Amino acid sequence: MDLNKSAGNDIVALKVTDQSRAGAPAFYSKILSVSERALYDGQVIGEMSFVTFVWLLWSVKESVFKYLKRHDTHLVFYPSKIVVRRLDRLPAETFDKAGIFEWGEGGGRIAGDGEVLYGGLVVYGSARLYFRSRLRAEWVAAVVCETENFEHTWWGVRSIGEVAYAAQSSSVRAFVMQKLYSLFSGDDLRMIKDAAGCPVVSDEDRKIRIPVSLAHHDRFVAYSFSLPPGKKLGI
Amino acid sequence: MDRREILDELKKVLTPYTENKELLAGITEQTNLIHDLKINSANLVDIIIDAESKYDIEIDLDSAEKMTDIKNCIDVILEKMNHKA
Repeated sequence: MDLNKSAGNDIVALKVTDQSRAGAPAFYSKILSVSERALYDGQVIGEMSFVTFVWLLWSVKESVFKYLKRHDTHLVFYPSKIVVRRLDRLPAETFDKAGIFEWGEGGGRIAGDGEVLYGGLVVYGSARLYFRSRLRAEWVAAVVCETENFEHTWWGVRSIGEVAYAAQSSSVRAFVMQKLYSLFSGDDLRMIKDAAGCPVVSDEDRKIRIPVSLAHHDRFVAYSFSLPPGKKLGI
Repeated sequence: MDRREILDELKKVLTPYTENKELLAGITEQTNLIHDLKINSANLVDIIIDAESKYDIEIDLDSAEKMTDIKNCIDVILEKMNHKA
């Protein structure tokens, strides 16, 4: 069974981004649409720097791209064509409704600690997706979903010790597999790539296929996947 | 600048975004950035911005969408350079 259609997430390590590049019109004009620039000026200004806004929207758009790429292998990432239509700062009491999130080595749901939660609507052509973004001083992470209900979306962020590509890649795979093994104990789960080259965790004997999305940047790794309603598992 | 010179310069632009430097050294006009060089699609934006800076040109979205292989990259860069001249 396909446990869900797709998955899309991203993370940006804010402290290693090139601030002057991201703040230059030559860069952000390739990322943001005119309406999104107006969104910052009219609503978001004062909540975060413009550069942080650029990276927050970048991470949302990259998440959308990953989500859609699984079903459109020819899709190429042009962020200004993926448009954030709505961006809301969400109150602290909604953190628990923003998916099943874990941070750090120990897992669990963490709210507060200087973290700000955003949500909204993002469109690409006729596709409409919803997103949740968690913003901290060190990183911004995003996840997308086809509905505004993130109750069955699992995502996590972890810091790692090495920044080499191989270490990031193996760490993020170990991170998501650790989570999935905690949910599907006893199963013989393997990570493979689907026809689009996107990662899927499967157990062929039980015909389980879970699309997973993986992201890493500098010393942070992140995953996301969704399980269908009724698959009440784990914590 | 002819196509050969632009191709050689493009190698420098692509270097930070290409893991396999041997593949990069051997690119031709038929090389696809995503499928052959395994460049992350997210880095295409960086490459377009770097190309704009290197050649002092502006690359619009319609042109940028074509820049997934070396031939089209060279075509777009030449067109924009000629337009500027």
